[in-house]
Amino acid sequence: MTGIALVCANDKQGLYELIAKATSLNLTPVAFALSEGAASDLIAHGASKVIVVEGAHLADHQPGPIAEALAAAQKDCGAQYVFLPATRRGKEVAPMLGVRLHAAVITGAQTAHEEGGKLVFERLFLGGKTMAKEVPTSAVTVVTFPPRSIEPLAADASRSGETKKLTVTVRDPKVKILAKKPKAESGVNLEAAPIVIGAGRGFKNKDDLKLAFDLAATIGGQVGCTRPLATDLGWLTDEYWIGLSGKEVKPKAYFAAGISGQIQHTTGIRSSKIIIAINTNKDAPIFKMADYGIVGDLYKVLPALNAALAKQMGKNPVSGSKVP
Amino acid sequence: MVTIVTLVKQSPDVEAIRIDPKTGAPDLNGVGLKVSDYDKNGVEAAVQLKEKNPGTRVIALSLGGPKLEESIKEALAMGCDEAVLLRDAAFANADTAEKARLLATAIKKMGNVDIVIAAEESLDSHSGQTGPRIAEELGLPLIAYVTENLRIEGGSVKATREVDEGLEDVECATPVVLTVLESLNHPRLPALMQILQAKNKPQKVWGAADLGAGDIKPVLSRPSSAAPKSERKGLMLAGESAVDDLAKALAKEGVI
Repeated sequence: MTGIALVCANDKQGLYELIAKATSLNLTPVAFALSEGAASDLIAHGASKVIVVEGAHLADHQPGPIAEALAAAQKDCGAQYVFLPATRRGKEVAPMLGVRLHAAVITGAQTAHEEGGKLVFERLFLGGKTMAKEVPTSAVTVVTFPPRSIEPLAADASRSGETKKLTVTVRDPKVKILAKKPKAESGVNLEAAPIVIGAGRGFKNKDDLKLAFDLAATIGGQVGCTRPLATDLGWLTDEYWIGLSGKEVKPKAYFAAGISGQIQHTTGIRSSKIIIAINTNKDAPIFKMADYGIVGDLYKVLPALNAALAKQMGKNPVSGSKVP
Repeated sequence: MVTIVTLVKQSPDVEAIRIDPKTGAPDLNGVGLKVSDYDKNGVEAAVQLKEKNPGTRVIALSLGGPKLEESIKEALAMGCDEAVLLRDAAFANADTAEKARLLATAIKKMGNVDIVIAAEESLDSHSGQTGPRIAEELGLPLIAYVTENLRIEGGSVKATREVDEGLEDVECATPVVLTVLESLNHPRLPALMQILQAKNKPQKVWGAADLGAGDIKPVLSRPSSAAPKSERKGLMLAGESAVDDLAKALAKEGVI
């Protein structure tokens, strides 16, 4: 496999991961950067070249200007692939870039491998029930990869690479940003959590989620939730949302509490090493994908499990946790 | 007068799709078609804008197969004024990119469209490409991931959108393309009277010749789709000792 992958993300971690992804596919990673200061760090993390793009309208990371600047950078370096993270920022840019480059866009590629000199991809399809193989036939292909799905290369200051400045003229995005309200740092990092307690519609009130937070606190896990808790009910923010349109988790143990097992959710937990299901309905689909199942009321099972696991660990169970 | 186009995709009811246990292949036989759930948030957003801005016209736009009329009725019952359906045998091999181009061509043909609303993604394919692709095809600004405060003020759209690191309050003069999140609203359930009235609302069908969009040139093929294999222990624990048994098993597995 030979070729160039232009990688773009609006955070360092995202760029490091995409550089590692390109490297793992034997593609030459060229990083897209908006400031010259970032270049040496990106080269140390494995970029063979950094294109520092300069021009008006880029600082706000609006998708139209970024897509236009990326198209200019692609043309400049002749990349066959453009890699972006499958984050909200990445997923709004990728299709616009697809139009500009007449490129196929693969959204949230789970796998990538070479067939006949070109990359083919797999992504979740039909609401997550299947993995579809997607074969691009365009000259350039734009791919978004789920974040946190590859380890960055270790930084190595002895790596060398070229830094090139590229001045671009992009159109005014016309969207005025009146205010930015960054999320409060919640410390939630579900993708990296070793244990996750997933909460579903079996919880009757927001306050009852403390049962999940108690168990999580006892055994060193984090709490996540299904789509309705994050959207319709709004009990927890999107950061806690696990599933096809939310986060993908890969803990050593995933506890599904009061979760029926709709495909929308289970696509986000498939990579868990062990799945434990607790549900009152013995026919709930979640039991079909569980390693351990208990048919029972989470209001009884979770406190009992909290006590039993604490006992195994030789400590007192945590109680009285606050629900954020 | 404000004209809003809201996109409505007809999707198989994905929860009803069965998986062949041997091959992993999805079985779509007998699986019903419905409006892609998330598009209802787009329809609701359009209808709410119409209610607050009298004189607004809402057009539901859909591209699909022979039964398109059935699902578009739901959008009309929710309050869309009319529907435009894109259907032609020539569209059969259109991929995501080409479908977006066809939808954009139809919006251009309508003329004087102020606001285009799409869902963030669809129920069956969830590639999330259609809204941003249409914006770029039409050369229009995009406000993606609208989550609250969507309104029209003096020829501009104002909204709060949600990106990875937080919220952004934004403003953009029309015409503009929006994608909406489920958190924006709760789609209404139309009353019987509205369902009955929906039958009388105008529907147009446009084919390849009407659009004049030229040949369909897909850039992506999807040769196969199958359920990934999953191997789980499937141990059901019951009785008084179930919780203790589970705790012991998890200790043994090295979870704690």
